[in-house]
Amino acid sequence: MSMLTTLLEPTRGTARVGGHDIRREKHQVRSLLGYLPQDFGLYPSLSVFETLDYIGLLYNIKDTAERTRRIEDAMARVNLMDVRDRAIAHLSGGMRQRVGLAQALLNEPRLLIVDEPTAGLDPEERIRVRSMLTELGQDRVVILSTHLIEDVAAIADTVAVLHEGRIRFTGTPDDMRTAVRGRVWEVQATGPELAAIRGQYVETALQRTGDHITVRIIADQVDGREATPVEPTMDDAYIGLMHAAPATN
Amino acid sequence: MTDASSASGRAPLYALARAEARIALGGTAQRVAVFAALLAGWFLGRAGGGGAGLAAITTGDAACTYLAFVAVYFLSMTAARDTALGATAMVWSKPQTTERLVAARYVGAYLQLLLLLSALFFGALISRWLHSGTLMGATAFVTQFGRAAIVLFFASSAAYALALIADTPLAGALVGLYWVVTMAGQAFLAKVYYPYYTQNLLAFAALGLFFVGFAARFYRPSRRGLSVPALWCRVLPPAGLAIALWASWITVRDGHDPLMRESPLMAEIARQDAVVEGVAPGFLLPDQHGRLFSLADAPGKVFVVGLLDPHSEEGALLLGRMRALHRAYGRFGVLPVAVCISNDTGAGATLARGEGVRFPVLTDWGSHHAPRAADASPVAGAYRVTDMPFVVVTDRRRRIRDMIEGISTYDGPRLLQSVLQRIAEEPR
Repeated sequence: MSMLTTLLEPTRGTARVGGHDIRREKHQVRSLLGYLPQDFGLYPSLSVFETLDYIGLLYNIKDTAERTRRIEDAMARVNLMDVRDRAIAHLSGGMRQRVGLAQALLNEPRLLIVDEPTAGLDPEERIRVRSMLTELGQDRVVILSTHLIEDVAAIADTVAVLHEGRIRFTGTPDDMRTAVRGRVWEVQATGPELAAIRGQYVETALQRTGDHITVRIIADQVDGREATPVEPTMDDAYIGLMHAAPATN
Repeated sequence: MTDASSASGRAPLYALARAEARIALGGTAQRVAVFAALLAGWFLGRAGGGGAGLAAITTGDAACTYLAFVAVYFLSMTAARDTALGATAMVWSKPQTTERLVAARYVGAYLQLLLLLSALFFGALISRWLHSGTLMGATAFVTQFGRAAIVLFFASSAAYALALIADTPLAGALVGLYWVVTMAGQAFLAKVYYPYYTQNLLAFAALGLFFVGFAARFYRPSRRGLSVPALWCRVLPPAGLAIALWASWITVRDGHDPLMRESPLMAEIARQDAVVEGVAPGFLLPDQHGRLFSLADAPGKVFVVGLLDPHSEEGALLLGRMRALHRAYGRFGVLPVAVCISNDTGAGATLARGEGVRFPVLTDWGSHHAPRAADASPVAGAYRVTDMPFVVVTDRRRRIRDMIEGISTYDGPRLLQSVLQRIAEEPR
């Protein structure tokens, strides 16, 4: 993501964004994209509007009226109109995240790159950000990086799974689940049996009800135990991919 | 959907700088600093003297010495601001060019320094007005404000560039260290190394431009891709450095500093010897208007030659005394001539403007740091000065008739008696 946003120089190879080379045409690439970094700081003394006005200048939006229009449009899209004059220092984590999203929208980007946008948010705020991203994805490309698999299932049309810098999988969320369909099982176990199951299979989830433990595993077949085949979730698919064959470039 | 930058052109630099200034202006620390500067100005404005000269010099010196440390700290932190706040990725992924962002950030921060400087001088001006009941010579504040603004420009730009390029505010602290060394090292450092002497302002202003250009040109060079840096940031580093070196060389070549180069003219002045009944040692020095003045230019006058330190209250008091003598006895052929002994060649002119004097106030540009007053400048050496201020009264043939030093020069009847005796013995 840092390379796509021109913040990090690739050690080799290159990529093109909107036809522009990320190594050579950095300025053009930056003009095309909006970027919400995972951990970002904002200037605490500025208000929401002032922050976005500053970012608008960084986007070279010269005309004040045009800049104001875009700021108000972005604030409306992420529900920040009520706090436009509030200092950043006095915003909640969720609101700051929305300011981050608004700043990435100011240049009306064709490509929106968001890095872990829901990390650290409470469930309500996470759902709100997800909905915004889904809406934004209707008329632009959104590249979303996350470790929260349910975000992917809720938002993404296409998924790429990267592991140690290499692509493990590309396809739709359904394709991802299909990759492990028929290999996901639920097994009932007792406490002493748990270690043996973990040693033998890939565990994706565990649920404890009283003395009973239900373990969710990935396996081609389950030997010597009663196992129930279940419909795979995105979590199953992800963990299955991580334990599958070596990655491709 | 449109490409924002191509549709909208470039954001003006002033708008960017204003936004940058706003980032820190809203902070409590900034408001406290402005208040502290006003308060400091209030105390500095109470300096003695009949006019605003000494108050202006004292305020300027304080700004150049102490506000420079604030400048170093503030600009070092400004350079590291994005790293500290974690805003680097957000800011630098935008299409604004590196040089404009670097320059705007500097200008925004420098404007805040100017705000502090303005508060300091405003406090001094108001204090001066309220304590003396007059604003006579207030234009001296303007001169000193300009001097301090240039000094702060150098200090801040150097700290900013170093902290930015090294990506740590500690690098900016090197400039603070330089300031400490110059303050402590007057015995072994030549005058050309001092940013706050008026004669060095051009060199250090050019050096400031070099630092700003250098930071804009060489900060994150890989961020540009194939884009060519703007012309100004390609030209500014070599041009600024060249002007700085040239100006420094001129200052050394035309100056007098035992640690670097001795001027033949100044050496000749220093070789003279002042004795009572002997002819007063001559000199050829620039006055407050930049014109060269020599005692020989005013034949038949009773000279009251006062050697003084323009940074001291005693110096201002002596100048006030000389002004009173000039007003009262100028028509009898009494001509006061003040010789300012200061490493800063601009201090004498500022004091003269501030005190509203009309007689020659000369600058001994050969002044340099020395433990003994007689060694501090060629004129001081020629007049065998043991204590400052120092006054010589001559007769109309330029022969020394009286030598007065210390408090008696500006307090008590001795100087007046000596002048009256001259007038009585040698009426026109």
